[in-house]
Amino acid sequence: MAGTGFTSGNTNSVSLYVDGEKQTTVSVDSETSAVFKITNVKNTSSTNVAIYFTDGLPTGHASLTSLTFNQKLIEITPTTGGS
Amino acid sequence: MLTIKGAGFGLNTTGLGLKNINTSASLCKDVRVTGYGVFTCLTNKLAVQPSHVIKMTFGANEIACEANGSCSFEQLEASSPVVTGIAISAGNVLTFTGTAFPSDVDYTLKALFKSASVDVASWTATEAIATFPNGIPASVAADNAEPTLKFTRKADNVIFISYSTQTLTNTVTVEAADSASGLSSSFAGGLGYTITKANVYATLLESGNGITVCGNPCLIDAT
Repeated sequence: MAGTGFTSGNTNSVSLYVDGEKQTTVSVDSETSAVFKITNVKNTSSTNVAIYFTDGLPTGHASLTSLTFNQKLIEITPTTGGS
Repeated sequence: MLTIKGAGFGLNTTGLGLKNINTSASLCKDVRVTGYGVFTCLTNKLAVQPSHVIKMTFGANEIACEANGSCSFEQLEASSPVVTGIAISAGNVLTFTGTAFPSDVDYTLKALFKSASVDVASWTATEAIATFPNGIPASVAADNAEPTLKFTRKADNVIFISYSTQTLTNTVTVEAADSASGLSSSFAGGLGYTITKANVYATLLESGNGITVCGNPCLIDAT
């Protein structure tokens, strides 16, 4: 996520909520970007998105209206079966 | 039953599946999303070679396995157990007949019909008898409900699913004579009301229906 006023190195300084669930703040690399990991959402996209700094909603928060997620395939188990 | 781990989808997501890229066949007969990034896939009756490429499908999109992922799968047709006959008796007993049922020494077995399931302790190569303690859910022809056997190999938890080639209909009818009458309850309620009829409880569990008295739902206690 790009912006201004991030607290570099402090992952507790910014939170991303999707569908009411707090996602993981992976890193705040600089004062202008933060990286989040989507860990719990209800669908492949959401219009219920909010970003919070320690002092509340940041300027421009209203422009964050929706997110669409990329699908990934990571693992299939078990590796054998019968039909 | 396969468990697929991924990302970017959740409980409300529909249209997920798996595709064998080599044969263009869909792998999944039934898909259920169980949480964020996880769904289960009940596989269709088809062979999958370990060299085949499996991709996740979401609508028209095909998603390849992540580079560090593990997505190979082999499904064998030869020697797989096959259910060819099904019979219902004593209200709550299903008898599965077929071929190549694996040994009860090396496998565990669960019998399933609609939402009901029960463990079967012993069986032969051609017959498994499952007694459903809560009864067998009602089923009509339009349900196309297939009794199913799920064998799990004890050594490595590999699962073999065998669908019956026959669907099963099971009529459950409750009549006035099946329940108590002339009861008198306190104003606060709490009176026990007994219905004695095979398969009623399983049918209520399956359908999500219940029993109400004057619009108030009853707590249901199967005995």
